Amino acid sequence: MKTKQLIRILKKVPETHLRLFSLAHKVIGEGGTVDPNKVAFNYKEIKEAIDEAKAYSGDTKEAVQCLKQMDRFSP
Amino acid sequence: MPEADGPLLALGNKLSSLGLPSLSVLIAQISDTEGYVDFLNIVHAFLPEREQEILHESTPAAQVARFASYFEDRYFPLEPHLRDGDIESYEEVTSFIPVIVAGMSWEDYEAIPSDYRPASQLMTYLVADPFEEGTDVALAEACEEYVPKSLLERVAENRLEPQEAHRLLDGTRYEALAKWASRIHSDTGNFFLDTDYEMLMSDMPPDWDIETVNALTREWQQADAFENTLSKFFEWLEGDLPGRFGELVNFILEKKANERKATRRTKSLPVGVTRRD
Repeated sequence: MKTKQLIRILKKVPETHLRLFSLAHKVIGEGGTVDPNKVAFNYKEIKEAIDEAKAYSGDTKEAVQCLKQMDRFSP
Repeated sequence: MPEADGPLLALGNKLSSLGLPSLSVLIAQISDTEGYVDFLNIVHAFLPEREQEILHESTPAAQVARFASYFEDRYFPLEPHLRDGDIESYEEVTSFIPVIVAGMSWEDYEAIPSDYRPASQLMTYLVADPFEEGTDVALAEACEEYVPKSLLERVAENRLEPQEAHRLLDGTRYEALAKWASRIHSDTGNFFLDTDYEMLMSDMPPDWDIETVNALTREWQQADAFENTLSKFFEWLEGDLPGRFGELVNFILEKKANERKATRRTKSLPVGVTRRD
């Protein structure tokens, strides 16, 4: 696979905002680490955000796998 | 172009070098906050200079694997699945110290005739059965592969308890047999050698504190030295199994005979008289 091809493919990947990143800011305590009480308070929202992140992570892995295969079989 | 030097690999390396936040670590931090904090504390307490390197790994499993690898270099071995990155949560390393124990369980003892090296089978035949379960037949059959039956028959009635083995053999070139007797009776006084997995889980497994880790590190060094002594003796014995086993049996029987003679002589003396030799 040529660099130009890879860039063209990556440009087509839509931008994604995972809720987990913004939620992570909400659950940080004063010490700079995750505050379990804040996590408990936002439990439902966090669970959904984690599921979303896990699904995104799985899709990304699949995409990377496809790119690797393309790379292997491209001239 | 193959992946080994292609643009995909270059992109991967570039992204890794930027230290981007890892999604799986972030998920672990939020969904298993307590486990993550405990892990941070353990890393900080035992490998402070490696903290950044360990936490820079992209997944909890990789962080634990790197921690286990560095920890083993300095202290003592941990369960191998940690180093292989085969964990599902931080709890697998934080809830207690996942030590590797080598105590002789009943199952281990039963496996000696089939799974252990010839020298350890023969040495086990010289020692009293710690479980008194009568596995002698399988053991004797295994030993017959290496030494004459007549030699084994001389031993059958003279198998040694650990205390007796130490009395007869400590300070001699056959001292390792006494160590082996203690080893299979789980009576070495060493945590790693006397504890099997059932005992580990039924007693309180060791906690992550400085004193425990330091004590276990010392115990591990002793266990390692103990096992090395045994290994060397196994190798020596396997250099000429029938000849050296015969030499060992003769030495033990002679010592026992001398002890019996000495006891008879002491008993035959008049009351109040002690022999000067």
